[in-house]
Amino acid sequence: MAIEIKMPRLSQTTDEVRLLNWLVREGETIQKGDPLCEVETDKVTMEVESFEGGTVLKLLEEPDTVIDAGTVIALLGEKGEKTGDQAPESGEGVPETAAPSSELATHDRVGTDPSMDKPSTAAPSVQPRDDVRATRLVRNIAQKRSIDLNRVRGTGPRGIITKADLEAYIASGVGKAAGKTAQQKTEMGAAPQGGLIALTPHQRAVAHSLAKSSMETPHFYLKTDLICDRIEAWRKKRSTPDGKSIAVDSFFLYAVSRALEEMPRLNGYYKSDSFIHHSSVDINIAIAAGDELYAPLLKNVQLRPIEEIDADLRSIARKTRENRLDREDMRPGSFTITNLGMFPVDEFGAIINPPQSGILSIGRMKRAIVVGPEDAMQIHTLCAMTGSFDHRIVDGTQGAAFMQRIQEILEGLDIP
Amino acid sequence: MKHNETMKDLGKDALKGMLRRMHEIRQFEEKIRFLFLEGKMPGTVHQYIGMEACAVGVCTALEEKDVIASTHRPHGHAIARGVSMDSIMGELYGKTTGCCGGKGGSMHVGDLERGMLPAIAIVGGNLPIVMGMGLAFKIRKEPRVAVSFFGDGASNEGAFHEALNMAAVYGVPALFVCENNRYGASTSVKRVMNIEHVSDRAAAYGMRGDMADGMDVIDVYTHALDAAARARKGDGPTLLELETFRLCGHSRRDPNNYMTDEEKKYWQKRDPIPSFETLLKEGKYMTDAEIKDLREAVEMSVDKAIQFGQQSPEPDPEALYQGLYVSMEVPR
Repeated sequence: MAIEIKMPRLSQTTDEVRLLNWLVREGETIQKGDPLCEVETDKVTMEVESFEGGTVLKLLEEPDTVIDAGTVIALLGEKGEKTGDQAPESGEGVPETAAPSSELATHDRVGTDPSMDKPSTAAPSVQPRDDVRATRLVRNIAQKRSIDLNRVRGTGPRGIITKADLEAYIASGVGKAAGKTAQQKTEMGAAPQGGLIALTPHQRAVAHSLAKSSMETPHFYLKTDLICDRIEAWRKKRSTPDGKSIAVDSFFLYAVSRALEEMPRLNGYYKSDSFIHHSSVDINIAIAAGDELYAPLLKNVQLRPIEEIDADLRSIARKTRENRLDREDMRPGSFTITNLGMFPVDEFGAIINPPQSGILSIGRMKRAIVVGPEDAMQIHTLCAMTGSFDHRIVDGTQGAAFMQRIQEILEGLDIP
Repeated sequence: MKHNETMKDLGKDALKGMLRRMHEIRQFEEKIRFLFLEGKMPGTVHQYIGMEACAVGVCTALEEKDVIASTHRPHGHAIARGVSMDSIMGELYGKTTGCCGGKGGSMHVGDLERGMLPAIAIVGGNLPIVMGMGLAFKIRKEPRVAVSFFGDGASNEGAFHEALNMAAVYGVPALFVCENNRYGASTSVKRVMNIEHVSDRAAAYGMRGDMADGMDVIDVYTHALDAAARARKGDGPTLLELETFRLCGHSRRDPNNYMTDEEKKYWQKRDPIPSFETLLKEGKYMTDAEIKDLREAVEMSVDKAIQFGQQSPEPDPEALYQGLYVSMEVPR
């Protein structure tokens, strides 16, 4: 009789852990106390040890799945023992097979008719499909690779789909194509299917903090156009030692830091009827790394020339992409800059990254006609910048003065 | 040979008893670890693995009428003080047979009948209470000693300062045993203390400070016996620092990644149980076969305790109303 290994309760604050990878393989013999797998809780990455020794008969969960404490994750037993019709393999009367109907229904969509990807109220796609019989492992793989299990022929007991069946299906052309399409969709960041995809702990943290900010902070938005000719001229004239031109964000970091230093009211945040003032000017910059959104910190920006700011920015961006940010790098400063100018986004107003006084949202640069003094029309490079401010500590005129100062600094840059 | 005289004084039975207690603590904690992984142990647990010599050394030096107070990591102290493993396990499972009737759980085990206050899980929380017990013993002229176990982390709490200062001023018969296991949860003691030893702080209160090797049960015993004798004689309290190490995480949910492998290896080599066994064999107090028998006997008693804990009855809802008031007697 196989022994069920369940996920222990590894956190005081949540029952969910993410399985990172297995440290044992099916068929391997392990001792009591041996590490089975690596998991990530909301606080820490750790190994889960086995409370029994024996041969690993089955691993029931795939890496990268979020698992509730108490869920059976593996079966242990004697060497050669068959798990046979035991609970996790059986298709009947087992909680595991009672997968959410939406999860099953969505398998139909991918790899068939693309038009089905649109939200549809058509009855068939939301009908529960309990007729699919598959092991939990197979369901996980299928969900991950967006394979419609209805198309896979099961050869296991009572027609159950085994891992081998699924692999055979994937090896055949049909499976491959379906898998690939889904993969591409995932890479583009779109949900490949309508099923449940758990957020990573960092995504959850971002979600909670932005929701809190959006609900609690009275935002107001000030938008203005910035003439970017001088930024462009500087970039054309002066490059970094390795031949790259200075990043546009570095100019905004430069200007915002100077403006924040001159206007202490914005260099801090609101906390229970008080304004907390920061002594140094530390600014976060929003950086997307895959599906994760980070806002790493640049410290003492007001003291640095543009070249130094640019070097710091490049190094922190590299650290972000390589997933090497530490706690200190992610500390909130007093203000955040976010730039979507690489996309066809003209302007936007971002949610304040709490606890801060505001955030500056930068749209794309484009050539535009500007009506100047004496109605003279000139062509300039413009970009719209929108400041979002916390009205509990910043009022309209203060916000406006801040925007004006940034504009003055950037439009009046001395070209080196 | 090391500790020759002391071991001769203790005698074979006492030495065997000490090893037995150390094995009881180790196996009790090891079994809990697997019960926890199996999902059969409720709550979290803070384990005493690696620190067995501290509790056993100190408790062997005490007399029956003395009282000890413990922390959030109390299983070792309770076992060393002679609280039955059955009643500790009953407590961990929240059953009526637990030493606190199942209302305390892991972090509050203890039994006044056995000279142990139910453990106080607040870091540094037991120090002022132990000071007060010692003061009571002194006022009543009872030849008893009050013992506080606490960690390096607690020595940075305000309660530590207040208790030690007052204990020194009144010269109470107390023993403040700091089990310095080098980490307050995950914080290295080096990051939160500018001095080398917690026991150096005794000087600030005009109290006697002393140190012992917390991985050597006989060394701990020797120093604790000396300090207890002084306290009983009316020579006042001692701050006794034991240098030790947790050979496990802070709690069952802690993979102790903050400790370096080098550090873990160093202390693993100094595991108090094998080194005590070597001493016993060298001194011809015990043979390999006897040690093996003892280990097996302990394993059986721990298994029995687990079974006892699991099979004991749950408290009735009415039990909620019991134990709300106490008579104001100083623990015996």
